[in-house]
Amino acid sequence: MPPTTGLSRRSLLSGAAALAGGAAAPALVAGCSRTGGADDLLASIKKQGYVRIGFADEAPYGFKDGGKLAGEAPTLHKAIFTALGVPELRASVVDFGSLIPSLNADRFDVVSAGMAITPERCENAIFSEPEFVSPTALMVRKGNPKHLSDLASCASGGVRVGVLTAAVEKGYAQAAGVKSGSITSLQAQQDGLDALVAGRIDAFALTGISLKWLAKTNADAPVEVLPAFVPVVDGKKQYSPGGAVFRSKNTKLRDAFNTELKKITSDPDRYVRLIGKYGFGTAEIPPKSLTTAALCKG
Amino acid sequence: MGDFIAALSHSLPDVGDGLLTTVEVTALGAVLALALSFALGLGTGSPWRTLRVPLRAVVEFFRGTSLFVQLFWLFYALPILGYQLTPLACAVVALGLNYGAYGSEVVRGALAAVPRGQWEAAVALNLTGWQRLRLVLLPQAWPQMIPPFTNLLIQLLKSTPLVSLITVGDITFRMQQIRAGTGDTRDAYLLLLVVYFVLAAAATSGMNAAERRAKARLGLGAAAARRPRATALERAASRGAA
Amino acid sequence: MWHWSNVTESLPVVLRGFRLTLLATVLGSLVAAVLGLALAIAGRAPTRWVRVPVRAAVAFVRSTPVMIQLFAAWVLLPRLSVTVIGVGVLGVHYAAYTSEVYRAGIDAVPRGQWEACTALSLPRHRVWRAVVLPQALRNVLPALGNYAISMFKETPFLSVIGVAEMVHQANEFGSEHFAYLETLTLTAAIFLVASYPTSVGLRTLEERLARSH
Repeated sequence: MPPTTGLSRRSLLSGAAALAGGAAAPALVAGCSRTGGADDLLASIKKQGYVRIGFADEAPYGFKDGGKLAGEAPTLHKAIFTALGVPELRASVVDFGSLIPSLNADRFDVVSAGMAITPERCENAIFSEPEFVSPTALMVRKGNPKHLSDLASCASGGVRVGVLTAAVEKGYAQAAGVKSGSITSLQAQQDGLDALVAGRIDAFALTGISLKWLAKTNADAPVEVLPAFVPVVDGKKQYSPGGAVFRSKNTKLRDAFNTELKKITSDPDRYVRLIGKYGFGTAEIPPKSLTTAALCKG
Repeated sequence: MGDFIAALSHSLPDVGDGLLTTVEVTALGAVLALALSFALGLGTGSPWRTLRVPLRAVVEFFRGTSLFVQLFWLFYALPILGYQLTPLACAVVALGLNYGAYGSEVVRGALAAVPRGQWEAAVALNLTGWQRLRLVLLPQAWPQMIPPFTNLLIQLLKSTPLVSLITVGDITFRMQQIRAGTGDTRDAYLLLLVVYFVLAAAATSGMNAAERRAKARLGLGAAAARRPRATALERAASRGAA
Repeated sequence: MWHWSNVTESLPVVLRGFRLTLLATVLGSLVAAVLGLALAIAGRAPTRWVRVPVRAAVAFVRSTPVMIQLFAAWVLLPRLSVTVIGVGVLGVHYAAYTSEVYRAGIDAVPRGQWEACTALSLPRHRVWRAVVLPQALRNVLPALGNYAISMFKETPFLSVIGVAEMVHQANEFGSEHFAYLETLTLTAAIFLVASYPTSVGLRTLEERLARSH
């Protein structure tokens, strides 16, 4: 009978099974959680000293700059939450379309992505008051070969427009008359620039702030950002104001947030000092007449 | 290109993190898939219909729906039903279930390929069902399972870029971040191709070594073939000559 | 949680994507079937200058992920539409697999057949077309079918470069109407309904071919 060496088959099998269970279990158990709860969020985040935020890695609204959390929303929110007694932000990244679903699934407590306030989004969550206004702009190839200016010109020119999946620009384009077949949905901002340079699309529609930042990162690319414009949907001008998003029941947190936010937006100097480096100047401060309640009604 | 290399070296810890995550996802997914392959493979080959039929349905379900859809369903749809898994858990579960289903066919086929005589001899020796499997059938089936398992492992490794779409920080995810920071799409993607090629080559040679060892232990491998075995005639001749 | 209205509203959108999914699968499989054969034959070329690069290219394509190949092709070939790139990458990727299947089939043709061709002084192209390939291809068909089904299940990767196939449509509708549960479940169901009967059919074909040999 040959001597059994080291690892016998039985122990290999049972070891593999144990390893599988042991390896998978913590990941599953730690990750498996129920969604739901009551509104004592403000009190509990004050107690734990940190708030979980979600962002979409979209410059310059909320992104990672060499490993550090940066952008308009995280910077603003850090100031606001610190004033509320919560010094730490713990960030998770998800893609833009999952921000609200993930918020509602309790992956984090606040969306810090400068998300535009729309009636449809208001049905699934609550927004803070606007943090900024950011009119839409078009990025086109250098020299503007198709002579575009805004989405209406894209519609009449019959050109192909690129937008980001789940972003508001798709609706703006359709409202301006761009046919669905001419709209290309892209995954990331860089995809938009690459597609534009490659000739797959003729215009990339996004907020002027994002496009200017994108052009800065791709300084050698043969593109230019046209002046921002205000798209019109059903006769109403869309300033694309963006704000923080909370779960529908966390009204106390939202109200406390708004109080601190107002202190910053009423102080232009402080506003520019905080987020001027991301391209937000006094022109982006939301006018007092723009309220979330009105924006949610549409 | 220079900018890209500069950004790359600047984010080296992130890149390292990404590589580790890719290996982690591959390893965890493979372990779960291996366990499920045996569980499902033994179950779908079992004589009891109440076990065989439902497990067969499970296998066909995971083989018949796309891994992409399974992963996205776990990440996007499951939370709507009230339960959520972390992105990493989604990745491991999806990979494990999908490749476990494919692996179960490998196990079932390899076990069926063991000569019937072995099974009959084990029964004649009064070995219990488990002992039959453990001591006789599985050891002989195992070397046959390794090449298809190697293929499945490489395929699993090649499906891991998928998890970057559900925000697991693997090497693809990190490279996309570097790409967004530098605007250098071409170099980022070309480098990614090379990284996965190297990973696949490493995994293949690792599995080939495991196959050689398993075969050697059964006396089937190339090493055993090289060892000269005296035929009965030669042995008799040497005895006669002595 | 589950709203049937989401199912009925998303169905036309998802089915529109399904048309593109089918188109990509069929075209991609054709490319894989034809290109794979060419690669298999080239991989047996007498000159090293053809054989080695072909084998190396096939090994590289087989060892790298489809998703990254799609990204790379997307950025390197700006002039081609995303659908063409999608079909091309899927075709080339699976051609690398089918070439191995063809190679095995060709290798399985008995040596005697080749020798008989030499004895009869048949020109090279007649050797392939009239003698070797008919024998080699008979058993390759089920394997090709299986790869076609695999390709079908990998078409969702095309969504990452913007091809509006089924999963892309499901995701877009799901994100705009917060209906991921319904659209993704619907998509999974369509995949199952399409691929399960096909693979059962292929298995019967495989058994019939094995028996008739």
